[in-house]
Amino acid sequence: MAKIYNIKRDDEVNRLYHEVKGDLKRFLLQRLKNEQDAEDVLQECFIKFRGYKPEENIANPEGLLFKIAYTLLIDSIRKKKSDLARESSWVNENITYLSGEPIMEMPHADRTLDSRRRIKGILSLLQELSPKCRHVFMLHKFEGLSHRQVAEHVGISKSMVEKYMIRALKKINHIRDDNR
Amino acid sequence: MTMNFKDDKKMERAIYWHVRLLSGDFGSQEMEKFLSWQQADRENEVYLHHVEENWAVLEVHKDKIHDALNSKKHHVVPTIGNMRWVGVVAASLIMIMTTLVIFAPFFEKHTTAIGEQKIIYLADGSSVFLNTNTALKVDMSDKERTINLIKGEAYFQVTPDKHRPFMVAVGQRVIRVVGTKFNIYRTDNETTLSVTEGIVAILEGTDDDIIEQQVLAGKQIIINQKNEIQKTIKLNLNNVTAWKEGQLVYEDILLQDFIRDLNRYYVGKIILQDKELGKMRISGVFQIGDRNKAIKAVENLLNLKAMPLTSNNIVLYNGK
Repeated sequence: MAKIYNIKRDDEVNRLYHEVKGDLKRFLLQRLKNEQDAEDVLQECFIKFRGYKPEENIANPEGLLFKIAYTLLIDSIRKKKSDLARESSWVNENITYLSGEPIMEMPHADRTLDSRRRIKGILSLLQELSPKCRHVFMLHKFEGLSHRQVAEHVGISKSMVEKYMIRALKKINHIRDDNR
Repeated sequence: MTMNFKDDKKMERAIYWHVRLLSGDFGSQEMEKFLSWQQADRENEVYLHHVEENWAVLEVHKDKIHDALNSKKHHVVPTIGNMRWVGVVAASLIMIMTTLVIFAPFFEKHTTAIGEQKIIYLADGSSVFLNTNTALKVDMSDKERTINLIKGEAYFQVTPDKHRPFMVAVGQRVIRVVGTKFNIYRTDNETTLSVTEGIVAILEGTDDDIIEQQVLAGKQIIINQKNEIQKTIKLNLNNVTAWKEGQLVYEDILLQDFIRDLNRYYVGKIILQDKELGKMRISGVFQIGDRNKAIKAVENLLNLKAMPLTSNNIVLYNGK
């Protein structure tokens, strides 16, 4: 399975894409529940995929496509949700929804306080993590390294990176972690 | 709607799938399992959505969390160990950085939205001109004037004050200024410092040997992700700071760089259909407020076609 693809050539990109296209679309449709939305995300996904540096050999193009598609899917769902909220009432004109909570887009003293409190909450949760776990989490989430890059960088296995990511996300989503 | 996410098992499963989907080696076979998990229970999707929302919230506050954790890390784990990317920075510099990025009680934060520019005047007579999508913190104390450029671009005009050095922190780097004018542009990958007047010093070195590297007027340097300094290139001062006059001036630059720069000023993005197109070169003077005109110019100059993609996004493709 350790086939290395060279996506330098356009036809190869196209071939790869068409191989995975059907699966990607089913994946997107199940969440978006709308043909047109799924097509839009798919198109954007393709453009993003082609944007990857041609000189980089991508070890797992399928995995990369799923990752891109999933990231775009999250954005798309969020955007749709805030558009809907905006249409539903003129009062909501300046409100976006984060975690189901309305957040004013215009800065407002209370809101700023609220967001500060939220950050403080997240920060204190992240600081409860072990330094290594936090380091892995930050490299992936904030430095934008892929799981594989994090693994190489920190000198641990890829599955260990995943375990750390799961541990960190449990913390953020307030689940007790018995594996600590 | 509020929902209590009481079912830890469900949450755990949702987290597992979220991490797998982002892992970079998710495949079609695994997808079948994922889809049937998602279909099995209406609530599974709600849990997954919750995980995604929290993931996105982190994105929104990325800079603040990143900065705070970074400063914290220097406190808690001073051993370099495998944090190669921290680089060899003097302990004293870490101290300066820490005071800059920690949530100090007296700092002011200034930001601009995408497409917005503004000038702030500091109490000492210095001024900072913020370009689009920029965030910085200002902290004026009796001993020091410090600015932390979190993201974006700013042009500084610093009033000299021998007793209060003016420091600018950009990522892991600290820049010391006496009385000068300079421009700093920070992207995720690198920071570009362009000095238009006077001298700017970049602090570097190890514990017992701090060196100041000087950058003279008319010179530009780039600090890369690994915190290394790359010397550059001739500098046409007027081009670098043309944004202050609402203009973008380019002399024979790559189309991909032109588009990256233009995209900073608008909510919608211009995307190249084919990455190879980015290798074309372009020159010109463009008004920041008029994206359509810039796109028209690119179409004409390089024989490309523009097509709207989704809402504000535009794709450029070969029009022959």
